[in-house]
Amino acid sequence: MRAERGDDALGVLDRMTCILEAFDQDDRGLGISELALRAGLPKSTVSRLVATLVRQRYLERDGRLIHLGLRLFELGQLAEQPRELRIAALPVMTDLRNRTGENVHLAIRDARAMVCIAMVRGRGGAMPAVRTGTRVPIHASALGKAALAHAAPAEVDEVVSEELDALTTETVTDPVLLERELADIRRGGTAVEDRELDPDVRGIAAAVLVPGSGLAGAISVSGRAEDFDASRYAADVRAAAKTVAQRLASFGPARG
Amino acid sequence: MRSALRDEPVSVLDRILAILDTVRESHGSTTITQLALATGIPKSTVSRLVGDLIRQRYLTRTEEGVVIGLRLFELGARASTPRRLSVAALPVLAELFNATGEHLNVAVQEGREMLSVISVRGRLRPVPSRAGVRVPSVTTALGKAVLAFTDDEGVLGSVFTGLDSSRRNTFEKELVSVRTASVAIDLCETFPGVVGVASPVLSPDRVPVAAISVAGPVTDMDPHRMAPLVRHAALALTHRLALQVA
Repeated sequence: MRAERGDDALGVLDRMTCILEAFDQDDRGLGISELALRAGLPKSTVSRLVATLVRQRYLERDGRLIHLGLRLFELGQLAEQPRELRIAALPVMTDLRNRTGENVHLAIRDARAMVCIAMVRGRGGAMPAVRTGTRVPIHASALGKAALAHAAPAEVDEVVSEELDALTTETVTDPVLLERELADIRRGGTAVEDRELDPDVRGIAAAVLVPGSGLAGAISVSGRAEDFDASRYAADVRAAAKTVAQRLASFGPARG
Repeated sequence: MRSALRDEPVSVLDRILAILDTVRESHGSTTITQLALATGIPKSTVSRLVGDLIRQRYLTRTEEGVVIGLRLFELGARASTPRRLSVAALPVLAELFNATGEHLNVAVQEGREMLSVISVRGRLRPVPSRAGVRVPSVTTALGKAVLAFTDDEGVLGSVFTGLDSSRRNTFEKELVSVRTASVAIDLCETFPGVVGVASPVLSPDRVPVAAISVAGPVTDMDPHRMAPLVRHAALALTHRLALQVA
């Protein structure tokens, strides 16, 4: 279908997406040539689109280098779904970090991925952590499994109907095992991640379930695999998820 | 044929960006009809572009219409300026919050407005501003702190338009004193009952890159007691940013 539509709107939007998604988490500026290479587009096309995107502040030019711009930040902050949950969760996340000393994440579900919408860094500052705005596969993370455990059976089927990629040697890629684990998570209230996303990280998560409206997201605690004992934090994570849900419910619907 | 191809995509991109901008300005959900009206793009084209934007997760459909989607949140989290400012500002804001307990903002200039990049909630309810929200430069302490140090005639000109000559005169005098004190005050000019105090954050060559502000209820927040605290925070942030560059 895409090919049929040739060079019209979707073509341009696709190219814009290729350019914007060429920038990764490390905030290193890109020159036009490198940007074209990463986006997989001709340099002339990239130069032309970049000129418009810079004018509209979707991109910023710093000498020769190009960065993601302020307009994207502004638009992103206005996204309603993450905003409400973040406001409800931030004090709870800080409290959870202070109790555990570990990295605390908040994520929402988007199809087969979890989008990290907030992060509070643990005391072991150097520990690498999933950053805000990053997507992680739903089947390979505590956050994702906690969320998926509360999804409708049809949605779970949809996730497991596609191949479950192995991110590490520990990732659960067998649909039967995953579904069995999801049932356990539903019973116990927490999901554990044991080096399934990152070979050096263990974590535990709980779903944020709002009475009446269902799954809002998931909250997790994670840390360095060698000295992280997930079971120690189960009660704290469950309690934090519940508090976030209560705060979110207390905001009421359609809060500006 | 080549020239047609050369022009067409750019205008499609402009249309896409115009739609996103209109959704941003709506501060909530928008409908296809409203988008067509606001952008002047034919409704059928808007409908098709919005469909594409939803499929690519730039927008999300809700019961009331369309809203900003998750892809923009993901991309926005990687934007350079807010990220660098956040890294440098977080310890400074923590200290300022401990000292004041009030509503804090770090904002950057966007045309005739200031765009909040980071905010910390204090006592004020409702919250007057938060990250991602714009406030007018001409009345806010944040705006005045930056304007006092800007020599960009284009920016000053656009802020001055709309002011009559006596208002403009008073305003220019105010900016001179802001420049001397490195502190600007907004005494209920923007939000009723809210007083704001701000100080500019400058680049190593003394160009204003941001401003930091404290806001509280006019009934019991003394702007003059806040002034040295805000100035100190702005200087600390200025230094931390200079170190980041070096």
